[in-house]
Amino acid sequence: MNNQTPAEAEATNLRSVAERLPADFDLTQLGKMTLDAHHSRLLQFAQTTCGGSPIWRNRKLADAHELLALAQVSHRLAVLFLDLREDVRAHLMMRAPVPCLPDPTGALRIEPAAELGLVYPKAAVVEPQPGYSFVCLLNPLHAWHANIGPLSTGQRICLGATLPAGIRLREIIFLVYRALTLQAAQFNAFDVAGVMNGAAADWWQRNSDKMPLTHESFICSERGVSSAVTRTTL
Amino acid sequence: MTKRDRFIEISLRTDASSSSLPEFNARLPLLMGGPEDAEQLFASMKALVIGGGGIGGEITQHLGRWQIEELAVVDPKRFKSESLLTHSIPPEAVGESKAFYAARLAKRLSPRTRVFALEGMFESLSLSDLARFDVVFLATDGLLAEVQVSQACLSLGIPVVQGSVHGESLCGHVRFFGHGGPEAPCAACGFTREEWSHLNRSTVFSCEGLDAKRTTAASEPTMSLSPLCSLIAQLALLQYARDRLGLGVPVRDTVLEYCAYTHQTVVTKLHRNADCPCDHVTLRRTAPPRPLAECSLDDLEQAAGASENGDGAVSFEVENSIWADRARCQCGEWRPLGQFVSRAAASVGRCRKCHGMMTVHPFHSYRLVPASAVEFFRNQSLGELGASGIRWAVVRCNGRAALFLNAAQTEGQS
Repeated sequence: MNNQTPAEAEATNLRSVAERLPADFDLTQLGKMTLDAHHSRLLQFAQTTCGGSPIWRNRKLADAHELLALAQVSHRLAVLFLDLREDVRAHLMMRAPVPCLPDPTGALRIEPAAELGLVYPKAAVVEPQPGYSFVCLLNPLHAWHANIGPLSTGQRICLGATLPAGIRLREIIFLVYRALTLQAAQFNAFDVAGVMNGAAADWWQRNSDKMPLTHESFICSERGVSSAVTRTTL
Repeated sequence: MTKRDRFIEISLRTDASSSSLPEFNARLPLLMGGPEDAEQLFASMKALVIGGGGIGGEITQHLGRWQIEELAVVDPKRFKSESLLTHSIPPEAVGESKAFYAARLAKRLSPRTRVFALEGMFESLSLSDLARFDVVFLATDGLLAEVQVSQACLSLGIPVVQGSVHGESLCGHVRFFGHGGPEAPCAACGFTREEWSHLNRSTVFSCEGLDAKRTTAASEPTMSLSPLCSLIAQLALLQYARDRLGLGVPVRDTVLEYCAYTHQTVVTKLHRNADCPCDHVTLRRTAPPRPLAECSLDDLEQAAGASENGDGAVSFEVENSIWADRARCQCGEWRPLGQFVSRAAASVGRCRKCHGMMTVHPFHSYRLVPASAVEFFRNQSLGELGASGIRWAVVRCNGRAALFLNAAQTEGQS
């Protein structure tokens, strides 16, 4: 019988993640990681329907492998569905605090996880894309965040003015985490890029003491693994 | 062109009679080794000029002198006072649209030519608009535009002749991309790491309105002596004339470099870069079995020969439309949709639960539509599926693709 409290179980989980990683783990090794049975099955299924030109197919499979490896090592991310038929389309669940305001007159509510829809089009390999073009927050609804758009446009998450051509999926995931947790946010309504919800931007500017929502990095902070995240070039 | 095109056709006032204008053959020499029907080859030419500045404006003017069949100019910018220093324009032109100024001048030089102008970006052109041209002259200063033009023209097999200058070294380049097939080089094949980085740096987007409006960050102005721009424009035209008339050694997939310090020219072969991240898929143009709106996706798949492979990796693309799988309301309610909708569609009906506006959800909509995503709709006509009035559709399968153009678009294709 397991007598651990949720907090202890979480700590155990984080330690086990860190222990499985080599001491010199670096995110550039994600593509070489061996996937476990569950993630291998997801990749194999996506691979059977992977379409497009050879160079696009290779790119999608490489990015998909990295995404699944990231889900495997981080335990912060779950890949619910992966579609490589044309665009890369991933249905994800990310364990990250999400600020919400379902009742405009009520109190801020922090939801524990984000259900995300990520679409990476072929054009993004060769053309810089707007920061809001990749990821939608599917749930929770009523996000109260300067960089998340309204429900009418799919609660798109803006990750910056422009994301460079050929940006990797793993880098988009890190940007999403930093945006959701308010570790990185853009509140300047006079800046043409970033602010998708003016009222929320104003609110967070006045409540900056509540930021960030967590100091945890994407991969657990045990054994300094988190530094691997910051070593990648974003 | 149809009314829906954003191109505007230039017409002359009735008092601007063409009767006094000479015929092109009055000064057309009997070119050595040239074809007998050289005049006809010029007269039947359809050219698109991207950029109406120092190089593009000059090209447009000469195409007017060639009295070609159809000419279109695309440029989003207007002349500034500094334009007088590098462009062949009078002071009165300052403030005018570059595209319209160049187009009007060409029309005055050749009233028989159908001349069109678009004060906008290349990317706003429809594939069916682009498909009608024999050649595209590229004279912009943006790397993003280079990639976009090259990608679109390679897919359609349209040659691109690009003129550019490097003012400090008095050098100019004419790149001739023949776009003769998947193994032909594209503009991005020669990009260096620095150029990719520059492309990223020089492109910014505005979040305002979420309409994907794209602007290019203020870039360095083209610093050049005006004769260099004119000279490169003329070299670009001479390269194309050689190709059109079959004069001398082939010029396709070459770069011609000229240096005014030494008056030397160097011609180098352009090669396909095996690691080029751009798609090198060419579209096979074909007419649909019926008007597109009456065709089903199955009809198109069969006409494209894609169903013979039977491997399921077929996808569809329909002009200006996205396949909307599901819509969502502000209350969070989802609704299955299963139809093509315009990319600009604001709403797709009311929510059954709260009667709010349902909108297409970006995660559940497809611009490139996998065949398996439309499995239950493949026998319905495109019109019934919401794509009435479309002019083109593409079917892709295993790195091959077929472009279906409605009859009006396939007529007159060379």
